[in-house]
Amino acid sequence: MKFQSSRIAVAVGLALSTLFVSAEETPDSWYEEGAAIVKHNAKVAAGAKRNAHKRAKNIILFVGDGMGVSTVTAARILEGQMKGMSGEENALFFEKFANLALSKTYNTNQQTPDSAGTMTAMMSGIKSDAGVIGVNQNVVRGDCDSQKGNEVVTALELAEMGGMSTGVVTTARLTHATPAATYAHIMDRNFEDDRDASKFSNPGDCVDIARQLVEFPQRFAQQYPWVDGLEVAMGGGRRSFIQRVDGADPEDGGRGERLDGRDLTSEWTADYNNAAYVWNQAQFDAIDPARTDHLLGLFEMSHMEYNMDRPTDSGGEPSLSDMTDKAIKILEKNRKGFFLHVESGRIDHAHHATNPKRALTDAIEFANAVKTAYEATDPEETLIIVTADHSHVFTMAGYPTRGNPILGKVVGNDSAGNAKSSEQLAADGMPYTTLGYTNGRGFYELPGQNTADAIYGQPVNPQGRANLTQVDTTDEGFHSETGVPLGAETHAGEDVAIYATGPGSSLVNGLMEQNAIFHVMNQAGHLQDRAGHGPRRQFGEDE
Amino acid sequence: MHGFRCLKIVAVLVMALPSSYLNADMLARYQLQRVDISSPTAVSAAAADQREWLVWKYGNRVQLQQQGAAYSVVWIRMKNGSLERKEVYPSFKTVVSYEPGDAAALGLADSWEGSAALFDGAILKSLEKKSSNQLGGYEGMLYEGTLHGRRYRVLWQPAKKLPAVIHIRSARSEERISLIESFDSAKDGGYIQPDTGDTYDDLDYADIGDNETHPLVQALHRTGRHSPYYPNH
Repeated sequence: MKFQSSRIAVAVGLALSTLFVSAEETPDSWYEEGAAIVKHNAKVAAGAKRNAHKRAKNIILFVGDGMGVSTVTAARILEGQMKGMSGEENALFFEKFANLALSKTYNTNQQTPDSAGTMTAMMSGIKSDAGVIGVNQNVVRGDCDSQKGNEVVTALELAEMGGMSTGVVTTARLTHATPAATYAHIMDRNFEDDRDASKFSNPGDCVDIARQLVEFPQRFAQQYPWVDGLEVAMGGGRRSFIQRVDGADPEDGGRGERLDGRDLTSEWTADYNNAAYVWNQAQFDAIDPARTDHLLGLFEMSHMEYNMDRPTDSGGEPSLSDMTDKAIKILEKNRKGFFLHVESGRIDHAHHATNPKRALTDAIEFANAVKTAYEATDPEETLIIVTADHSHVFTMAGYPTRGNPILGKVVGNDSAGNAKSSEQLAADGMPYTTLGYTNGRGFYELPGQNTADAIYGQPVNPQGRANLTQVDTTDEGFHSETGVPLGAETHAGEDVAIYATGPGSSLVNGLMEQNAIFHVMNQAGHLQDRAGHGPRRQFGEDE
Repeated sequence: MHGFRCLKIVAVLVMALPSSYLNADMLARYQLQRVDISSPTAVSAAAADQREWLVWKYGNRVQLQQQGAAYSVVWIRMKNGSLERKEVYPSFKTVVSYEPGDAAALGLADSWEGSAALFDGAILKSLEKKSSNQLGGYEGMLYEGTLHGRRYRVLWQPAKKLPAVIHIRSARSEERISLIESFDSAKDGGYIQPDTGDTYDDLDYADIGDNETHPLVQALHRTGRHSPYYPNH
């Protein structure tokens, strides 16, 4: 099969790299495209020194939870194929950023990391243990006494101290590990509300994560009285903010989780001027950023919907792009600039469920949100960093022909290099998919089949292989085959990519420890200087 | 599929679980028998997977306990019509909750009607109503038809709003779900309802993958079974 070829080289200054939109491919076009990439990179390199010293007024940190390199590649191909392209030549928006590095993600106590330790590293410049948030590795997980004096200072906190506006946007619960690591300090990631205290050996007087969000200014009142708390906090996780009484939830009449009798949503609107709390699409749409200074959005009791499931959500909820746009419109009112963290939290969840379609469509929406942010801000004054906290055991394998549906079964090439007319068969005589997982729950049947298991849940399939001949593997309910049978698929330990654009983005280069991401933001945004915080790394240190 | 070929469960109901003493409106007991017919050798005595279900229906809740399973399933119809699915693990004092998107992603496309009636109403409507009113020794409304490559025969009892018999035959297996007994008042059945888990710790299904140190998650990994999970196997 010959691909229509030609390429459209799109470069916006030095901010974005070359984008190839293939229309007609020839040997000459490949050569010229390759040369154009290097020529562009030479310009980026020439400007790198100047870029490294430019100050970023605004900083946006995008984290695709669990978005390893294989996820980016597969999402790139799926997005291209959804546009009618072959797919491989496509690029997600953030892949056009000029600066790229690899991030070593391990935790201080784990080869393959979790989100709590990795986001703590990115936000504070200090790697930490798995499972702990905003504290260093000296803390014993679950032991409140060990937390005292080991809280680390985050980039968001420095931004607040420096008078900047701050925001967090996520599709996971706002109290989930990644977003929580921007504003909270806690000895266990699962301490999301006061009802969780019973889970720990020594909850002591440690404050749950939801309370830490709402009480944020109180922690700084004495030394930094101008700290006014987050201007924007949007995501899921309503249950940790409302009481555990019937009828507490406005959407379905259910109960929240709080046992302390507090309704943190009403406290949010009471504590701030021009504050609003929203929990559905209509309320979100009605928010006027010009007249709203503090916005709390809690669109689900737990995590928000996967992007492909949003249309069926009962209350309606905004997309990650919509939330990002609204957040920026509120934050940009501050002339001192802003810090914003945006997380696509459910790429990770879909991978854990070995459901590639939901993982990839969420990754595509994540890329859309990056594009929204780039277009809504001045690229000369806004540093945008896009990365992942960790990877997943998600693989892209076999020898599918060019343009083979990325969610489909492998159709290989014949000896002449042309696509075969039938699916490739393995040694067991059965077809196989391009995408798969090295561990997890394994393939099982699709929705629409009323069986006993559909009523009672799906067991892990320990057999690994299944005959997929009659199975539509591109269906949203398809769950990939896996190697090692586990109750849930696991994270992976290999490096993830960091993409960056804007002032200071050239500091993202080479093989970096994950905690260096904080130092890029700190240096580009002059965060410690603006905060008057000096070189202190932890709250417990003396001035 | 799923290794049920070698699964034979002795029909002993485990009723030692603590009860939440909720007022259950009705109770039904079913027997499921599934046979692997994918190959001639599979159809043998060892190929049958036989179990029993106890189902409590009360108010806006349905709770299903499978014999020998380490957990029960609870469906709760919320005020806005949405459906919550929870799995209650008494031995771990933990409830695993499924958000709608997670249930959909897992192919657990529950509906209240389907959960309360143990059969998807949409499928029932797509089947042809037959003139016969008997199946497997029961009386009711008989429906038949083929969907998604499966041959269905369902004997529906309108008064109870429950199926008396469900036969599902595919190329690989044959399932027979039969009502053994039912009670209009659950307490008349004499079975102790399993705990509903209202006081247990909550764990989202979506969070299982990020809670590898949780005792329940470790057990699920170790056994290689998420559902049904048999602690003694």
